[in-house]
Amino acid sequence: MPGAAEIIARLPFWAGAPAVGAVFITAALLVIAEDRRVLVFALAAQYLFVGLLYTHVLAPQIAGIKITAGLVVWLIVFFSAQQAGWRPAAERLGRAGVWVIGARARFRVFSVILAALIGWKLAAPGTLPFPVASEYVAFAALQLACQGLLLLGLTDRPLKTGLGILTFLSGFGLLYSGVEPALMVVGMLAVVDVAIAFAISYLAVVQAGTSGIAEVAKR
Amino acid sequence: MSLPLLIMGLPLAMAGLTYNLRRWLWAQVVLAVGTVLALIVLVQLAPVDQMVVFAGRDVLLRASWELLGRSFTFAASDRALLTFVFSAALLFFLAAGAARAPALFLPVGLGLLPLLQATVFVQPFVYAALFLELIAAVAAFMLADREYARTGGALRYLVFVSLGVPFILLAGWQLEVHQVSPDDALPLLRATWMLGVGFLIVLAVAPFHSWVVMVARDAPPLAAAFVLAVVQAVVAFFLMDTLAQFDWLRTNAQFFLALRLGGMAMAAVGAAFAFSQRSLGGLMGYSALIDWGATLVALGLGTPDGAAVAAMAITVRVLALVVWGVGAGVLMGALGDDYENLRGRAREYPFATAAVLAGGLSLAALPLMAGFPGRWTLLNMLSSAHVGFAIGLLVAAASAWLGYARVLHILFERPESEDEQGYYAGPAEEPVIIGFAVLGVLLLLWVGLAPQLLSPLARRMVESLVQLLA
Repeated sequence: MPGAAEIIARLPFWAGAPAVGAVFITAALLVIAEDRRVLVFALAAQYLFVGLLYTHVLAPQIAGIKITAGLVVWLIVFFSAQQAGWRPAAERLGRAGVWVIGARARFRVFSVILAALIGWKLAAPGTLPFPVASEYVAFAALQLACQGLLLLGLTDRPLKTGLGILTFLSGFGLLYSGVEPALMVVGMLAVVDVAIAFAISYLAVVQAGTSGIAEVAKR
Repeated sequence: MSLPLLIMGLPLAMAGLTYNLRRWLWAQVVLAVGTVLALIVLVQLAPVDQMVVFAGRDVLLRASWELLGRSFTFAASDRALLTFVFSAALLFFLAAGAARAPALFLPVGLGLLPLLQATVFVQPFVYAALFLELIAAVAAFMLADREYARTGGALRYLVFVSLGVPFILLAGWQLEVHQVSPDDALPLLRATWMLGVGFLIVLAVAPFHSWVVMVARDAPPLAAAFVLAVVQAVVAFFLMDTLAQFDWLRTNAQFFLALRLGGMAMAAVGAAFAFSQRSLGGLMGYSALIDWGATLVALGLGTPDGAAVAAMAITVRVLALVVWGVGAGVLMGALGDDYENLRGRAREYPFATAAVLAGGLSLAALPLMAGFPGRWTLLNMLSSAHVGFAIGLLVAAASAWLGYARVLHILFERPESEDEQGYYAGPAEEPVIIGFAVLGVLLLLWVGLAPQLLSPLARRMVESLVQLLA
C-alpha cells in the first residue's frame, strides 16, 4: 500500500489530464443521470478531482480547505438524498427503468456534448480575460461552468438544481482562485458552497416530505 | 472590542436562541424585537474608536474588524443605512408575531441580519457579492416550509444570485488589474460591463426577474415580503455604494442609461402581467417588479434628487410590504393564494383584506398611498427629458391598479347563497391582526399625505452619493 509521501509524489500526475477527464465525466453524469446514487457518487468524484486541480492555483494547504469543504458538501448532499429517497422520480412513478435510454436522456447527452464544445472553445487561449495558470485548470473550469449552467437550465428539482449551482460555482471558483488566491476569499467561497448545500438539502427534503415521495421512494 | 463584530455577532447568537424557542412564538418575537432594538441603539449611539466606561470597565469599540486579511469597517455614514435595515427588520418581526409567520422566519431573519451588515462593512466592498450569495442560501430556509412547500421561488432566487455574483467578483479583480496599470482602459471597460451585468442580474432586471414572482407566489407572504423589501434594498444600496466609490462609474452615462432601461424593462414586464394575475402572490410580485423598476429609473437619472427618490421608494416599499405581508399571511394561510378561493371572503377577513389592498396599492403607487409621493416626484423629473419613460411608468402603475381592482371585486363579491348566510358573517381575525392592519393602513395613508416624515431619513441613507452626484 503506498504511503503518504508516495501519494503526494503522484499528485501532480493525477492533478493533470486524469483530473480534467474525471471532472468532465462527472459533470456530464450530473447532467444526464437521474438516479441519486449516481449523482451522489459523481459529486464526490467531482469534488475530489476539483480539489486536485486547485493545487495548480493554490498552495496545497489552501487546496486542502477546498477538498475539506467539498467533503462537507458531499456529506450534506448524501444525507439529504438519503432522506428524500434514492430512486429517481421516473422509476417511482413506474415509468421507464434506469437502464432504458429515453428521449430525455438522449436529449441530455446531446446537450452535454454541445455544452462541452462551447466550454472547449472558450478555453482557447485569449478567448476569456483570465490569466491561465494551467491549461488543465482553464479547460476543467470552463467545462464545469458550462455543464453547471446546462444543468440549471434542464431541471427544476431542488437536488439537481443545487448540483447545477455547485458545479457552476466549482468552475468559477477554479478560475477565480487563479486571480484572487486570498485566504479569506477562498474560505468564503467554501462557506458559500456549504451554505448552498444546506439550502438545497433543506428544499429537497421539504419538497419530498410534503409530496409523500420519500416514503414511496424508500420502499 | 470591535463594533462590527459586536453588531454582527449579537443577532447571530440570538438567531440560535430564537431557533430553540420556535415552539413559543411570543418568546421568539420578544427576543427578536429586543435584539433589533438593541442593534438600533448600538448603531445610533455607540462611540466608535473611543474609550467608554461600561459596567465599571473601560471598553474600546473599534470601528474595524480584521479577518484573514480583509476588514469589516463601520463608517459613520453607515449609521442611517443600518438603522433603516434594523427598523425594517423590527417591523417584519413585529408583523411575524401578528401574522403567525412560519417557525423559521424569526431565526432565519435574525441570521440574515449579520450577512446584510457584512455587505455594508466588508472591504474591499466588492466582496459584498459573496455575502449576497450567502444571503440567498440562508433565505431559502424561510422561503419554503411544510405549509408553503413549493420550492421553485427559493431555488430560482438562489440560481440567479449565483449567476450574478461571479460578475461582480470578477469586476473587482479587473479593478485591481486597472490599479496596477492605470493607463490601460480595457480593464476598466471590462469592470464596467461586469458590474453592470452582475447588478442587473441580482437586482432582478428583466429577463432575470422570474424569481421575484415565483418567490411572491410560492413563499410564505411575510418571508417573500422580507426578501423583496429588505434584502433587495441592501442590494440596491450596494449598487449606490459602488456608484459613490468610483468616479469613472459615476461619470459613465451608459451605465446610468442601462439602469434606466433595465428599470423600464422591469416596469414593462410588470405592466404586461400584473393586471391579469390570478393569485395574490403573483400580483404582489409583478407590482414589486414595477416598483423596483421605477426605483432603478430614478437612480438611473444620475441626479441627486433621483438618488433621493430611489431611497424614498425603497423605504416606503418596506412599509407597504409589511402591511401586505400581514394581510396576505392571514388570507393565504386560511384560504390559499388562488382568486377562486378568495371569492367573497372579505366579509370574513375584512381587516386582512384592508391590509392586502392598502399594502398592494401603496406598492402600486396609488394616489394618497405611501408609495405615491415618490412616484409622483419621479414622474415630474422624467416629464422634462424622458416623457416616454414617464408614460411607461404610468401605464405600468395603471396595470397594477387594475390588478388590485380585480382583487377588490373578487374579495367583495356577494356569494350566490347570500340569503342563507347573510352578507356579513363577522370577522374571523384575531385582535392582534386587526390592530396591526388598522395601524398599518393608517400609517400608509399618513405617509402618503405627509411624505416629508420619511424623505429626510431616506435621503440621509444616500447622503454621500447625493453629494457626489451634485
